[in-house]
Amino acid sequence: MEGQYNAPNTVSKVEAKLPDGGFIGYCDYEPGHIRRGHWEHIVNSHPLAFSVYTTDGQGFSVDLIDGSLNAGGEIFSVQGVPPTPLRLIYYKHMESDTGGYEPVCAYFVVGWQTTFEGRNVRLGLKVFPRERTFEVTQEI
Amino acid sequence: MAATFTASESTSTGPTKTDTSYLNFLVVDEVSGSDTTTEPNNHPIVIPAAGTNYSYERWCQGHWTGSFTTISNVTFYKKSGSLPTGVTIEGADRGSQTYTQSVITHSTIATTDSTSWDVVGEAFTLGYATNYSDYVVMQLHVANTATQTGTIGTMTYTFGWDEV
Repeated sequence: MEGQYNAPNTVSKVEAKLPDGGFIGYCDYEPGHIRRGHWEHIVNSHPLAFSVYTTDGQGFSVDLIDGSLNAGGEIFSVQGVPPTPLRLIYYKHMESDTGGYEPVCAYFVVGWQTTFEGRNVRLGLKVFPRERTFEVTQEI
Repeated sequence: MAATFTASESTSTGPTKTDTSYLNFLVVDEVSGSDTTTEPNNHPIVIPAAGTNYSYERWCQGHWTGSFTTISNVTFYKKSGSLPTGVTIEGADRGSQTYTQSVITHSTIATTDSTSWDVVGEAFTLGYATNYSDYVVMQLHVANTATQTGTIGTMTYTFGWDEV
């Protein structure tokens, strides 16, 4: 499944909604904001939801309770998500050419993984900022 | 804050590690310099009367600093640029961060022609540890069948990685 959205080409903000209702996150472009220590806390404490924002505020998120995905307001619900904890998957795939060019984000992934009937199951959004497209895919 | 990336090249016996934007092939075991012309013009690989001339091996790595949690799935490939008749580039994933001083004889490490790693699907997959990737080793070959003199076209190499 594929879609399109309108956004410039960088990840600008990452945040997680925590079980106590609070939010925690950091901005890629703001070094003084919440950084690495808190980021590790997010990964280890299984937040309720996790969002990645592009620089114009478009949000791409995963609900780690029911496994649904949100791509710029378009919701992708999942049938039959097992009642085991969904583990957050988030990473950026970066590329850097020789010649003094700045690294670029080729795509980022926000999704989940769980174990179902003895095997790993994954689902998530694979977002290509430069192409302004995304995929809902198990290949994350 | 994201990770900061630069390519790194290793030279001499130590080795001496130098962050770099360019990966030039030279007849001296020295750094690539700050553009694609100065060092290659000063230390070119000339066309031999017979056989093949080689550059020193170029030993390079990805190098990350700044704030990040993990780096993984590091890849390297030749993204663009063509070579004239009689000129080839061979390379390999060293498979470790173990350095051996560069040689100007026919490399026994960099042995895969760049036509086999010139699309993203053929990229070398490199290990990562402690801010550096494993080494990629490359070498330029100039055979006596080469006809083009002067600077050859610019190649672009691309590092890729997953970052959290």
